[in-house]
Amino acid sequence: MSARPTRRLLTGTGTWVLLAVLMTWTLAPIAVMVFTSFKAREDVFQVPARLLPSTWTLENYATVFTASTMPQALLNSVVVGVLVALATLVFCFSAGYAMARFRFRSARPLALFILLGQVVPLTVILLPLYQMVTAANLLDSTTGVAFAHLAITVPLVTWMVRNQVAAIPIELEEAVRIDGGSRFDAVSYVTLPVCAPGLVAAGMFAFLQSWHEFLFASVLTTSSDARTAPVTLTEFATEFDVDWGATMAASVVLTVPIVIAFVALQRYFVGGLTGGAVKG
Amino acid sequence: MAMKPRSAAVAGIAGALVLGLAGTVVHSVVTGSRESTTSVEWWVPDWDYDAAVEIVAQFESRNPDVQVDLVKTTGDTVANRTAVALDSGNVPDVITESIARVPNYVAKGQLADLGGLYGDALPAEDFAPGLVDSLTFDGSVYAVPYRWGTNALIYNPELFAAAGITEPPATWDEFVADAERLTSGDVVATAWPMSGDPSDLTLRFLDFAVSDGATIDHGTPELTEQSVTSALELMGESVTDGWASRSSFELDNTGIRELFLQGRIAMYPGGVFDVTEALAQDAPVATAVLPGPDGPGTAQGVGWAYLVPQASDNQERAERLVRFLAEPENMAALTQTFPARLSASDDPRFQTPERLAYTEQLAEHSVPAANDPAWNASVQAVHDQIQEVALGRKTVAQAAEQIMTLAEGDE
Repeated sequence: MSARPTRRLLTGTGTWVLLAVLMTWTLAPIAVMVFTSFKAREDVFQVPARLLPSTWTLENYATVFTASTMPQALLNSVVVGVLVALATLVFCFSAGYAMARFRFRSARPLALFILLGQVVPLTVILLPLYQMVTAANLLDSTTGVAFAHLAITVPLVTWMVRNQVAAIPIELEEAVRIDGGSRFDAVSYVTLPVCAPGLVAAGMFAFLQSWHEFLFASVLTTSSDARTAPVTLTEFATEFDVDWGATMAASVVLTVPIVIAFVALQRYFVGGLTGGAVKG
Repeated sequence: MAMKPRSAAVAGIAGALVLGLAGTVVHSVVTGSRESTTSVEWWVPDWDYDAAVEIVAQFESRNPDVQVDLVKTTGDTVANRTAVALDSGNVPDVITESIARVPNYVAKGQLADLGGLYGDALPAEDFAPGLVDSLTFDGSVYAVPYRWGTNALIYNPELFAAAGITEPPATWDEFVADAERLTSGDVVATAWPMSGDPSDLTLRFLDFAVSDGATIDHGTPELTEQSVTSALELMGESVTDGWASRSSFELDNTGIRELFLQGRIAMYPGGVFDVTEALAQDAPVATAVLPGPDGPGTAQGVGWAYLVPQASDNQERAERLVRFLAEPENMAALTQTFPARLSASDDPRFQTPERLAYTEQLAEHSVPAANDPAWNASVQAVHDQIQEVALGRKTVAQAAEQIMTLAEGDE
């Protein structure tokens, strides 16, 4: 009779221990990043290594905000991320809705073809994208980077939206049309409101993808007017030297807005990512 | 038929978004289409940028028909950006690039022949030994090098004195003997950069190998089993023997320098920038030529050069800029290590006592670094073999066999 509580206790303890290990594994690099950002230069390579600074300093943050182009880069990242999120939502909702609701020849091959974009390595499409952005005269502009980032976000978000829409019973839209509404009314009054959490998640996903993307941004931008924050991080490494304190401080600055946004919107994010996962 | 209110709102918002996005694209296209046939675009790394601004101002005052657009690159992005630009054909007019990557671009026919720049005003013999030759392919010279440097031995004279050592090691036997004496308490004799860029470690490896019989023929290393074995014994076994720090696995060049500045590491092969940094911090520092098997060892020269892409629309103006940049005083201004031209080294800041060992190393015991594309491709694998020996997971013989196979291109 007492075996079950004992087993439950052991299982519970094991689960918590496992979770603690996973959490430590996940958070340890972040802790190192945060604490290193408050260390003086001589503290960074102290032997034996210590997690906490021996003297706390804001010098690295001062370097980031006053002696680098990081403030401009953060602004550029926000501009690019917002452009990408908006454009992704406009394009992908239209495409995802069409894939979920319209029956047309080659619908399935087309859907699979779109998903192919997600499995092709970014380096493979780098050169064609560079040529397209150049031809459009968008090189070294935030718009050009946003254009390139759409190549990353559009395939997956189209599928996310498609599944969201497919999970909504068609009968709800049909009810609007029986009442005399157009298809556009059905979308406005039924599909969009039901999809809203999923669309928030999709927009946030697109923003996140753009926020931390490095490869395209590093190749497509040349001036600090267009450089995004991940690329500007490399400014703290010169030919012979890496300013690890400033690099970590810049990384914290780069991470904090995303953490805040994620915490604020996590309810939508989790719901939106799993929405339509069963039925689709 | 009138639209329902919410439908009208949705249509309005969607329309505004589309118009806004389209407007943004059009604005970028229009503002981005400023091209000038008189401008020369020069991609310059951020560490040279400030000096480049001043030099460009001088160039433009002498050449009023040319405007130079400076574009800043960073050490971590320049390779990718240059490769993509050259592949796409949409290129700047002058690029400051690592000499190590020049053969890759030459192999694709992407660089203009700059051989015409060399002559009385720019004598090839005024450059560091073998340097121009290493950039010559089928009789054409595809770059003008402007900065050049090697590693030399950096050591802490106070730690040496405390260990009863009066002179820096001149041979490998002395190096190992000194290392064993220096390793005590909190101090370890040396460390290797096993973290960070793998080429930092393989550069040192190849320095040791070249000092013991390996050669570098036009950028291609010709290794011998003896030379590879010696280099692996010095680098890999030093960790297992305890006189090279086990923290090597987590150190890059910056980390090693910081430990040296803290007095935790007694000596290491390093560049002259580290010496400048140590002097700036009043740390005890001295330099010597790298030790070799029986005398001075050989170091590989690495550096940067100016390239003009074959696809540049402004080759004449680009070459004029490169010719100006190659003048000795301009080379000196853009260099923290050593200028590639010997005549530019007369500048007093290249003549300090700590730099004498580097000058001797460069002039008498150096060869241009390996830059063959096949070798470049195997750098990570060679790095891993050295690390395997240091971890004690492979013997020197096993790793040497693997590296020989890699170098012969069998894998």
